Amino acid sequence: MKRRRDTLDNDGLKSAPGSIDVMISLADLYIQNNLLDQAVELLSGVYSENPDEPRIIEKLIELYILKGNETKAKILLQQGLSVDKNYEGFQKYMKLIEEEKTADRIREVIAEAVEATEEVIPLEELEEAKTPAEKTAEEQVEKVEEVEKPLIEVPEKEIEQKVEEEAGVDPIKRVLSALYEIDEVLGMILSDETGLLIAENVRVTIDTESTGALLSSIYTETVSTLERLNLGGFDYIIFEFPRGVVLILASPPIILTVMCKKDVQEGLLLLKAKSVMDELKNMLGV
Amino acid sequence: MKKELEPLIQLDEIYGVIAASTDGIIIESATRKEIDEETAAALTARISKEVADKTGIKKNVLSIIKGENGYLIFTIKKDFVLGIIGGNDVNLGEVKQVLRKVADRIQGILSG
Repeated sequence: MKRRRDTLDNDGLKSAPGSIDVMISLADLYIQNNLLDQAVELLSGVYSENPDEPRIIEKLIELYILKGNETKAKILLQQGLSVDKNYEGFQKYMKLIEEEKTADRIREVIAEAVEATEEVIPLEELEEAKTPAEKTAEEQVEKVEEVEKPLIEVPEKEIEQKVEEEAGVDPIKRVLSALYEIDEVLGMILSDETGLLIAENVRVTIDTESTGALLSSIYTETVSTLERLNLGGFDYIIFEFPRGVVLILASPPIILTVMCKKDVQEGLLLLKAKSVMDELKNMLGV
Repeated sequence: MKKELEPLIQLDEIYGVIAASTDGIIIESATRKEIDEETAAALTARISKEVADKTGIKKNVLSIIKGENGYLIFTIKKDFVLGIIGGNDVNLGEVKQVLRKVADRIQGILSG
């Protein structure tokens, strides 16, 4: 990352609109798989570089609500409203909070009304008066009511993905791991055009964040060179180093880097990587 | 030196061959299509430097860069960069093989 910072001005550090979309899609995937901490970590990084981006703030608000940290959600909402008070996403959460306040007030009114009742029957007497069947039924109702209804409901269609997560499978890593069908593949890094790490799946010890950033820097240089040589838009790069091969595939705003042993069959690698890239594009909606 | 580039420029779909110093000055070139050789040399050297700087590997690197309209393929040697620009239908296996051989010969000449 540092090298990117050396070569870009402050504006250059901000993620491109397409990259924001990818990060939000990825965060959605994490949310669908109940990987809330990963989603917060991902978006916090993007937020630190894009503090005025309403979509990132909105998604972070959603995340903190899901995590049950309403204080943080409200602080972020205030921040969001100061950025754009008319932004639809912020208005939505304002309404939710207002409704919640109304509900609290209603509960308070009911409590006040109960306290004001002149004839109060002791709870013990009421319990004794119930039949066993009534008690059992009420216990069941209480158990159901104990389940806190989240502010944002997760659609049923995502249950299947949640099951996968419970089995310890990250959906993006799962797609990336298809490349391990090629024995010589050592790892993959998925980053955005600015070098921000989206996901990694590596079998070797490397600093994936730095590597992704460095390779995206080479990619950026290559794109401009292809244009100047009238060779058209970027398709891919293969680097044959003395001890290994690196493939970089890009479909803006995402960049897939695959690291392999020296003796990999490059044609097979390219075909497989393109297929993985297509699947990732569909998954991330880019 | 020009003769050394002939095996490359004669391959199918090759538009131009450029040998340049690592700082982008043309050592020798041969073209079959209109190519701005100086720009090509400068850009090839620039990417080579970027690769060397970012990876720390400064020689014996072969790069295949595919654009929508063709290829830029180059090899980074100790003292120079040898690159070709070709169309979409180049035979990659053949180009790589010949590029390496020619680069080794040029390295021999330059090392003298």
